[in-house]
Amino acid sequence: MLIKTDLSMMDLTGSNEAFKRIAIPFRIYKTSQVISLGEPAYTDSVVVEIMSGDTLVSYTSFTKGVADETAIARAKYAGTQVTPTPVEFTATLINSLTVTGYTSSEFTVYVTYQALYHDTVNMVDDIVGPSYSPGLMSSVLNQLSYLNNILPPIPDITSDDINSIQVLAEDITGESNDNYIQDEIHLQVNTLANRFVVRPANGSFYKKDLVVKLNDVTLVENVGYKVVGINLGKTRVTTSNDSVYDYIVILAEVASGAAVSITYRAFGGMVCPAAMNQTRTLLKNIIEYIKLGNFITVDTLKDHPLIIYILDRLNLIENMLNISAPITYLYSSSAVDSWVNIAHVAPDGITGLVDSKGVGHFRVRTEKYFAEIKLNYDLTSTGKVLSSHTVSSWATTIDQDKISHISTRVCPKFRILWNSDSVNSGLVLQMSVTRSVAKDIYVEIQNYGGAFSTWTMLPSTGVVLTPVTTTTTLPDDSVWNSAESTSLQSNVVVASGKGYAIFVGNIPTHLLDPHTYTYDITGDPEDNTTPIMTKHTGLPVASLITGSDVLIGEVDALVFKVYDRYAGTMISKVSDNLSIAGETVKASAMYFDQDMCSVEGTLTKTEGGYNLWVGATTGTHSVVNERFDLRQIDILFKGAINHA
Amino acid sequence: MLKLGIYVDGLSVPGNTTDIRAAIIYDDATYTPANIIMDGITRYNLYSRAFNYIKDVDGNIIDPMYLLNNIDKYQYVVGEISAPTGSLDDNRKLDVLDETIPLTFMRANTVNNFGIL
Repeated sequence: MLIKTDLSMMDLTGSNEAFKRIAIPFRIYKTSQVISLGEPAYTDSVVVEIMSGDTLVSYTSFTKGVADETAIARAKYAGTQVTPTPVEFTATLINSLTVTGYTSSEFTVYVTYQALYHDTVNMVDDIVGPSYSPGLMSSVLNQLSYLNNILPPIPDITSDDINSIQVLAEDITGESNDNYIQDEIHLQVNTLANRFVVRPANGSFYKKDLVVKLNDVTLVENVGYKVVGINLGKTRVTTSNDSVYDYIVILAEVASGAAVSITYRAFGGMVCPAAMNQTRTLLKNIIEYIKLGNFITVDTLKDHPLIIYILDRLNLIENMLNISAPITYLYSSSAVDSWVNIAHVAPDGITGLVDSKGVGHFRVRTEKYFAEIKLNYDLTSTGKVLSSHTVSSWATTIDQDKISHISTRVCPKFRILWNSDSVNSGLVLQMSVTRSVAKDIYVEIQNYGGAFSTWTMLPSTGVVLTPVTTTTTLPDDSVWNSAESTSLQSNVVVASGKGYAIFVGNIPTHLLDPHTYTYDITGDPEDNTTPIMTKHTGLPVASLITGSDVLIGEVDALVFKVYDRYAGTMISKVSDNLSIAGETVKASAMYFDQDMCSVEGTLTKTEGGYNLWVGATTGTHSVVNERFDLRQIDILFKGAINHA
Repeated sequence: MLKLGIYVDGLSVPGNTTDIRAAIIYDDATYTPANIIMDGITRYNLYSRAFNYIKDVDGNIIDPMYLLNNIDKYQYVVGEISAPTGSLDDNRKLDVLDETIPLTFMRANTVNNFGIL
């Protein structure tokens, strides 16, 4: 044992007990085997011994290696640094020996010598700690080498072996009965098919106890089998006078299915309780570390400072730009209106008041429909409370989507609910999206409002929105009930921006003329009691309107498309005149001024649906030439983009 | 279901033909089509057909919108709408110029409608 005060890292005397290496075992298994000491040793101090019975006796069949000039030079330099009296270093240092005494059987030699550098592993326990030194590094490397060679993880065994693996403690004595494995069967051996290597399921084994049997007949070493793959690391540490091997090569002819059994004493230590405890401790530490929040997991993600910081920055950006992320609702669409809540105006957090006037700016997207709309409300209005204005839109049209326009188009509508006796309870914005073919659709809405928008989108639940039939809850949790006279709903606005085809066909205008007017021929030119021209409603035709899509009061214009057979062009004309009376809208357009040609349409909403009449007044030249065909009529709603 | 309604000359019209005079698209769930009656007589008879009854001379189904834009190229015969032989929509190739060329192909008086001329 080292005394506490002697911590010098280099021994220039060659006699300091703290620098003495005592009986380090090396296994000799071949002729002229070089033993590497791994560090400089005083040549004169080297003693080699072998075990005879219970005692070590001298062994002389070895030669010393060449001098380690580098180590000698370092020792000489260190000697010059000794104060007050420099030491002249004259000894010789070597790094290796060559043992020459091997004949046919293996044996272990024990080497004792004086080392140049300090071995820190032998220090007393309560020492504060050494400085870094070559000796310390050497010790660390040796320990790593030990861990690597002696305590490897589970080696390359097959999955079947895993199931039968035993927890064997490391046995360096070669005597542990717990590690004695009897008749381990290896059926996979088939030397005829080049399958002759046996790897014992419990890993490295002592050679002395190995018994290999083929069909219960013991095989002779080097005739029926031989051991290969000496494990130098394990052999070196064993106190047994034996070698540790990893593999057995079967030399006998073994056909497929023959039972090769091996009985052996395993070195063990592959999976031992200590290793398991070590693993458990390591896992425990990792889990504790993760819990500290330094690592991001699904659970800790939301609490991570970086994520919180990013979300704060996003909120800031959204606030500065006056937009928010789109919200996607699942909506059950059909031909019948179904009103659902999508947004509200809540009372101001400080004043508790709700502004009776406001503007909303939304982007709406569903299927083939996209629109950016503005919804303005004025609860004090004696006329319409709600109005819409389409900033831009994209939707299906007959021109682009042909007949499928009728079955795929949607017609979004909006309205507001509030209690007139308690405006400060807040407002609810409702949406209805009709579609000729019933379908659950995703409606994405983004509040794109500016600084004055007080609308707040309601969160999406991910399931189909529940229609509001008679009652709902206002932002301050008070009840809106359609049965109450003070619970009001605004007018409905339509946000169908690209035109809504209500007639598709091909009717020559000269065919419509007789249905539109007739001339009254009177015998007396002075008689003006009857009109010369009697107006009629027109020819009844089919209207392609889904459910209750068209709100007569919201119709802004009709767009007539008339084909000019002479020029081969399509004339698209927004109605010049439009009149709305109750549930009837009439519109006409002069589409060919040169010959005084006009076309007209009358749309009436009834309880049973919609009735559409079309008419024309065609100039004489065009009638004779059968020049024009009425092809299509579209509806434009108020606030929509006027297109021609 | 969306259907195509076509109007051809009524029987009471002198010299009535199988030419299609007008056409509409309608939804039979919301609209019941009717003949066009003027001055007490049926001027145009309406026939309703599903979209797969619109064919060219080879029997291929064509887009109803194409028919609406080209109704003077089609005829209504025995319940089917098709482009008549020799019309602009008769796009069959004449691989061999033999006696099988229909005579109507060469007859100037097959042009019925001078409205566009």
